[in-house]
Amino acid sequence: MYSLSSNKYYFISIISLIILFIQTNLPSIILYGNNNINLDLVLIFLTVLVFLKNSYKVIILAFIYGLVQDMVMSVDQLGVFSFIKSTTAFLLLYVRKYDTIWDKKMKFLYVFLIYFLHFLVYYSIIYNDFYFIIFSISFFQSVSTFILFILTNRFFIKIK
Amino acid sequence: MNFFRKFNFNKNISAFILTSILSLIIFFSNEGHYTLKIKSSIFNFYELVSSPNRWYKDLLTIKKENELLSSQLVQIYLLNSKLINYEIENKKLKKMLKLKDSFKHLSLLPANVINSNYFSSIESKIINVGTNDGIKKDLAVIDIYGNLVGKVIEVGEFNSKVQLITDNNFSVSVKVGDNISIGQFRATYYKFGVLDGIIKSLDIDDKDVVFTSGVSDIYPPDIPVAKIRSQIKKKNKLFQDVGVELLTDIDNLYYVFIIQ
Repeated sequence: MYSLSSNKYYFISIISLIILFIQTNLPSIILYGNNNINLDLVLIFLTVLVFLKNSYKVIILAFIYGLVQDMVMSVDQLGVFSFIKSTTAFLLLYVRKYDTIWDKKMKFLYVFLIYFLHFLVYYSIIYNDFYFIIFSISFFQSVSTFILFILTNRFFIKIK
Repeated sequence: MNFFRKFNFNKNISAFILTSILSLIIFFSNEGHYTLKIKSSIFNFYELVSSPNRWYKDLLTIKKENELLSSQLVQIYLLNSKLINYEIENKKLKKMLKLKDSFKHLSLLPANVINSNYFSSIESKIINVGTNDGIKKDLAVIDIYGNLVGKVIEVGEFNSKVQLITDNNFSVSVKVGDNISIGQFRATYYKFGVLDGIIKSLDIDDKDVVFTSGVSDIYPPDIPVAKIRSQIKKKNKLFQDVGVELLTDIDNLYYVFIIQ
């Protein structure tokens, strides 16, 4: 039993590293002007884990992802990205509490809203000003990530 | 037993509280010894992970850059002959005015920017030089065209973090205009910023270039920072509102120089 569970951890750790590797090297999509959006594989991976595992460990994994982001990107606000990522994972885990109550559409709507909230906070930290730009980039970023999540769902998790 | 049962019941909330507390601890130990050590290790790990990104970016940009640099080289050759004459003239004038030379003891260390798209930020960039290359904290960083990019804020063994000029916590003393008025540059959004403390009586031309003043110990004088975009003089204000646009292209930074 122990070896099975430790194997599972190894598997998730390796997948996490692969996701981070792909995410780091993935080119971004130019939206308009010089505003870019990225396909957030990390967030999709966390959502998939929420639907597959429903475990508090997803929050810890999200925290680690956020911590790496913090260390690489932040100047003065160290710890903010790790907080955002773990909060997103925590909120995403709520969808499992209503597994039998919410239908597929409701679950998708909830996931989209969480994505939007995540990117709204994320871009508010990255950009200094201009709420319209923050709002529009967050929206397009959440739409692109959500589309990728829908595709992942169709092939891998198949939410009911 | 009861405690463990409760803990099991609220695992998600407990994990969330734990990670939030950890985030808070990290937030308040920004400059701690262990935080700096972890940062240094993550920089090294990140450099390894993002190496394919740098490889394909190099491939994509190298031809374009080569063409650009070749054309610039010809222009610079032509300009150089002009500047030699100016230098002689300048030296004579400086001797007459007893002024000191700027850019006297500058040595430049080239570095490669290793940030990827996902981890790119307008606050900072990671470069592939560290303490092993003689890098210290608070060294000025310029791009390949000599425009100010930012300053080194964290140094690892092989990599360092640069605070970009676009970060809203970044500020640099600058000079502008024919009368050399000193002001303070502050970033607002993306590649735009404002100059604080420019007196109303100063006439600035549109497209005038703003240079570092040399007042601070970090930035040497005469490094180009931005160009004037707009200026508004209001009756009820002592200083004029000067809007500027940064000269450096933060989105396309692949190589930079550290001024040692």
